[in-house]
Amino acid sequence: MTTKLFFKTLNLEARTTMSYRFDFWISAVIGFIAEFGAVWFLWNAVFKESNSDVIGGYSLSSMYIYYLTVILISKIVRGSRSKNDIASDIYQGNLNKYLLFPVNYILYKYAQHLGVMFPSFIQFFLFGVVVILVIDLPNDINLSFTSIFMALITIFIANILYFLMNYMLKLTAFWIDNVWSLDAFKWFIVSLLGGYMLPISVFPKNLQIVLNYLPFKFLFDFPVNTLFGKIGVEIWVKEIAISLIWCLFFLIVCRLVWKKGRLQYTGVGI
Amino acid sequence: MPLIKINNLHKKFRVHKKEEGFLGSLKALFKRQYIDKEAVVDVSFSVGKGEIIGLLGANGAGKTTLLKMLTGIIHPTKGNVEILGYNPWDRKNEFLKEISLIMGQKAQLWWDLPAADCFLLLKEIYVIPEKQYRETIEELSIKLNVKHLLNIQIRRLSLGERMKMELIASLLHRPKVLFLDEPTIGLDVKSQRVIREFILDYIKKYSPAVILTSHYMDDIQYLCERVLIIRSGKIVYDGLLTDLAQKYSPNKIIKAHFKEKQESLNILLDLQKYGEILHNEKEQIHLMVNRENISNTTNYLLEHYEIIDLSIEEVDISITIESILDNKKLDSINDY
Ligand SMILES: Nc1ncnc2c1ncn2[C@@H]1O[C@H](COP(=O)(O)OP(=O)(O)OP(=O)(O)O)[C@@H](O)[C@H]1O
Ligand SMILES: [Mg+2]
Repeated sequence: MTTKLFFKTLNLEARTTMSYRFDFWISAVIGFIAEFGAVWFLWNAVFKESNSDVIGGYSLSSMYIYYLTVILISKIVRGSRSKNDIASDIYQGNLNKYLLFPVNYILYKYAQHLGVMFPSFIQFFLFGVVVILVIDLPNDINLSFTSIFMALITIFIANILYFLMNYMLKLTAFWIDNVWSLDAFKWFIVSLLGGYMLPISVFPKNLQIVLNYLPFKFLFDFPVNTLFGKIGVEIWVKEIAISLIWCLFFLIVCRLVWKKGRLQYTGVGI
Repeated sequence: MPLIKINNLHKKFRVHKKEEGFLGSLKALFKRQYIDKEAVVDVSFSVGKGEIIGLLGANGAGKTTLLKMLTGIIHPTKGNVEILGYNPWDRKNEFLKEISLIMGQKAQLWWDLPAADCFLLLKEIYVIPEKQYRETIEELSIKLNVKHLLNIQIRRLSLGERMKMELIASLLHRPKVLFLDEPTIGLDVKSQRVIREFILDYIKKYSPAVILTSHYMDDIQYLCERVLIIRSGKIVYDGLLTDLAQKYSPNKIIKAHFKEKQESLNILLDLQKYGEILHNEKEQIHLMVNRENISNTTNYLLEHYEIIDLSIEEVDISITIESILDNKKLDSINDY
């Protein structure tokens, strides 16, 4: 697959996504407010009940900032739901055409994935700027150019990692008819263990140790903490290396599953 | 050297039986029942450069399944395929750049994009040189009269217009091996003709190896010399289209032009002894007669009636093919 094709695909996908979504901005803003509102009430109550100022290293106000950030970051890590879903390609037989193209399917899908999430990029930066300008940051959050730069790299890798995990799951469509029922389950696991539902530092110590050995934290918890300047450069480099190893691991698994799955494929739909 | 070489190819589909009702689904959770379906059975043939093969068969005969194996979409259960020296299953880029599969049943172009954008994407996918790309688009879109439609989203085009775009798209990279799966399905007579002529044009210019399936005999007769007839996954005929009639149609048609209108019932009864009367209007009578009785019959006619003109023709090829497709005698019945 040539670089030119990669960006051409990305570009086209971004354009069609933008032209389709009249409701895009409205739904984004409403979703954001709803999700953040729920978190607001929940943590307000929790802090009040527990009578403590700090939970898992977070004060109430930095807890809010955590959620604000993680919701924003997740837009980029997860990307948008796409109609070019790998599972539906397999299920409906659109895969036929991609099998005929002299291109690498996974790379092609990744280009599409980046294209579809392009509007999320814009949202991320716009909301991000608003947040930084409008909100007083508590002093346990050290936003700096270095931390922002490191966070961008981290988020980029998180995006790849999430894509690969998702891809692996979707490839099971070669065997299972209704992969989408697994989607909710996947999101539950990933958001719980990755630091989307709760910051990982809120969990019991033992669980935290276990989570440290799993790939999920690289999706949300680690990018947020990197952005907040809580990760030293040395540790950051080490963690990035580990997250890249996870990416490689999932890539290899995906390839194996793809190979096995293609043997099952019957080219439905024609 | 043949461009397409196929040896003892088999494909068996395994489908799990879906039982009816809720209880059935529950049972299937624990024990699935499978049915094996032999879609392609022991198929061997080869196709040379510039050769156009018509693949004929009833619905469900296994034509599309065969093409899917030849293009590397599905894995053969047994046997091997070699196209341009490659095994399609490996999906080597060099191989994929030389082939094309056109499916009349299913849109391959991107639904939301106008054709012009689709073509640009294909240009990058197949790494087509700028000059060749421009020339091809220009030439083909004028030939098919779709130049004014290039900037309209594919989903807004009519079936025929879309098919023309699909055709252009699949020829952009000038494939050396071309698979056409019912390219004219659902099109009106004029569009069918335009597309037929267009395909022939491409074939004359680039002499690819072509396998074409179609349920329209016109397509086959216009484009193919050699045909393969496939029945229940097996090839039952591989040879020239023109030989087909002689081999498989036991009958010919005698068309007699009488001097005056034959009204008496007698003559009709008389002729029915020789064959079946297909047509009887004014002075014309068409009689379907067994090959062996042709000379007897013509002699009889000429001796007993005043005839201006008399011709002997083959039965319409599509009738012959239909009878082959229906006829279970041609191979062992128990496999059917
Ligand atoms: N994906 C599949 N899974 C299971 N069985 C299949 C599948 N595709 C085709 N078959 C079966 O294989 C046989 C051959 O199908 P195929 O699509 O090759 O027929 P065809 O000759 O192309 O027919 P048509 O003229 O209707 O297009 C059919 O009996 C069909 O039911
Ligand atoms: Mg078919």
